[in-house]
Amino acid sequence: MKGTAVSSPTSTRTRRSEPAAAFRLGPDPMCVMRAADGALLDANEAFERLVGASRQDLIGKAFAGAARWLDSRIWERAFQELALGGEVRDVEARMRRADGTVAHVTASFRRVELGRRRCDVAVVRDVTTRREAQVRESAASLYARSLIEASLDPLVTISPEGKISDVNRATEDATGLSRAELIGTDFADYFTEPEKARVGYRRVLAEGYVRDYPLTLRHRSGLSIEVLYNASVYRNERGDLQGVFAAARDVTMRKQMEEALRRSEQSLRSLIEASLDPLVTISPDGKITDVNRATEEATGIARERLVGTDFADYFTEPEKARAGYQQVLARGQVRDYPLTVRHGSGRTIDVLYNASVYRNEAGELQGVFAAARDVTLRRRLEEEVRRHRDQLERLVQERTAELEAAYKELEGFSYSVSHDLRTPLRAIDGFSRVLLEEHREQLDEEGRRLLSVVRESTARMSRLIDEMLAFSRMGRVQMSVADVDMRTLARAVYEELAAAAPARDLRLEVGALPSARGDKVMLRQVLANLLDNAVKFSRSRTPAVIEVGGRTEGGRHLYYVKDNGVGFDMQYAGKLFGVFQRLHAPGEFEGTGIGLALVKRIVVRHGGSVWAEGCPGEGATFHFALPA
Amino acid sequence: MSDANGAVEILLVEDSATDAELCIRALKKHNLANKLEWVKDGAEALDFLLGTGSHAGRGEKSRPKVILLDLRLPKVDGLEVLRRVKSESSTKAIPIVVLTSSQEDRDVVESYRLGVNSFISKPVEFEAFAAVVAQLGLYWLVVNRPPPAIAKR
Repeated sequence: MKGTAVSSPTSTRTRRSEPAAAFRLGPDPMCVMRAADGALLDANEAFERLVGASRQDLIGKAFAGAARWLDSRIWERAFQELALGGEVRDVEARMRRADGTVAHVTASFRRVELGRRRCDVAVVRDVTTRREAQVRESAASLYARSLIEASLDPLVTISPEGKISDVNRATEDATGLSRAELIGTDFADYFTEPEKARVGYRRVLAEGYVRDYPLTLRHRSGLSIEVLYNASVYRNERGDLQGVFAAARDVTMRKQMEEALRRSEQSLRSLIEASLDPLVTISPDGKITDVNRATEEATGIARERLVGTDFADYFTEPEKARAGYQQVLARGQVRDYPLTVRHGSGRTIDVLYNASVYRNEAGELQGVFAAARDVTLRRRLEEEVRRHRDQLERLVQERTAELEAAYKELEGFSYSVSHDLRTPLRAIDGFSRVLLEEHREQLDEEGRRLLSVVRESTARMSRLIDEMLAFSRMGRVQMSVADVDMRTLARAVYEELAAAAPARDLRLEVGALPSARGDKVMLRQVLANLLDNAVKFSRSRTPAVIEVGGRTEGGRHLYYVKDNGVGFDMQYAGKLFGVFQRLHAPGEFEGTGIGLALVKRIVVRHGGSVWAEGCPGEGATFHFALPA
Repeated sequence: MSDANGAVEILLVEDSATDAELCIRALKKHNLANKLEWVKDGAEALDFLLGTGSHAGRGEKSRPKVILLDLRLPKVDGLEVLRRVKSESSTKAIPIVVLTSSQEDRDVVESYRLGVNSFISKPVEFEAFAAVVAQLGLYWLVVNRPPPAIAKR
């Protein structure tokens, strides 16, 4: 059986016929196999070239072994199918060529009767070139599609009849409808103005394209999306019109931003216009580029006639205006630069200018923005205030002069008193004395007594004059202010007083006195007078107890001098600090009644106050307060 | 009150007759008022000292050992007399004692500024006044040594 199979093609070749030659020389690789065992009986030259082996080598081999198939197992299935159906078409396979490259082939088989033998004829086509082209083409098309899908702009193709033929994902998003829902429907239906959409579409057909054609896409939810359409027709390879390719750009955001910008510009403008201050922008060469209403009012000139003119021309001192303006350019700004605006009517307005340069986004100088504040009224008020102040000052000066004159007069009076009153007093005293000495024998006892009364009265009047002068001096003398240790001062004063009254049983208790701020000599006088009083009015007590104390409270230093003496009736408390006011008869307690008046005068000069508490027979407490 | 040859030891410048009398009495008690000249105002005091006016031609004899000068005086007041006497070369060596009722600090200050030799406030009480006058009379006429031009007379 085997021998027969081999001999048959040999005989075919020896007896060359026309069809046999066609087989051998045909363009497609072909081979013939014995159906019974699949052994190759014959192969043509194209087959030899394809597999890279000679006919002699090939004969007797199985089809699966005839070439270096990369996936030889597919042949088993192909032959099973062939056995069942008698024909198998376009089995795709890959093989390695003799030169090592891979070839894509399609093989078709048919079971035929050749003579009396059943044979399988195989035609193997090398489709490598076509296959690669196909792969390339499909990759390109996928790429294009993904580009289209990746676009954030809604893209759509429309048939010449205006029906949607394809959409991308962005179109689905923009309309809220699926691709399936969109395809085949009317393109114009998806816009708020379908007619306008149709007009645009027709224009594309007529002119071949449209650019930035504004439409409003209607989303299924009711939202609308502002878009600008760019569209052009597309044709097939033959140039036949296929439809329109349209790309929409969502400009909703841009529109909104433009609107916001417009509104903000508008509100800025109305702000500028609403300003009561004249506002003006000036170019770097000093020309007015814009003004507001207040500027028109301040100058009395309309905006159109102001713009383009020289800024400095509208002031009474153009040079000063230019200097101010140069200053802005040099320093970037000026503050409260005083100028006087000249109104068209001739009247002037005093202003203070605040100005700064303004620049564009690139930082380039664009000009000067200047705001003026009308200070005419303020100036007038200031002038008024100044006039009033001057008047007041004049008045104060006049009054001061009057006061000074009065003081001078008072001083002159004090001087006269000290000088002129003493002289007659001295005469009274002196001549009484002369009378007593030189004319003694002519005077009886009563006469001598009367003369001694004259002399005592003289002495008393002399003391009164001295203290009155001291009192007046205390009001005039300059204070020298320092920190005064009141505790030490009180002790020192007390020691002096105690030394002058050695017979007395005196007890002093000094508390923690706060230091005072004042004239030490004067404050010493205060303590001396109060302590002197305390010593004096406690004469009848054994021991006489005098207490000096103090504290700081409510921003004041408070001091007191307390004694256990005769005290006083509170109903006379108001008279205590008056000049020459006495609550006791001169025979009872010595004194002129000036001591407490002096205390009050000194404390008041220090900005403080005095007061007293007492009860007849139960002692007295004198208080004084000084600013802390 | 000057002696026969007209030499004066004390020039009392005092407008008050009572004060003058009390002063002279006090000096007399100590025998110091023998060569005392009393003038009643500043103008006369200057005339006496400078040999002008009613005292023209007195010359050097008019220079006393001490001047007792009140401040409140008619015509030319005491401070002016002091200023003139202390600014004239012929009189500026004469000791001047201000004897006044004033206790004003400004009078004291101004007097010393003008070159006064002593400043005394008159006590009102007579005993004290008499004691002060006697003391200063003794001091300036007896204890103090005057400048040679005055002493040699």
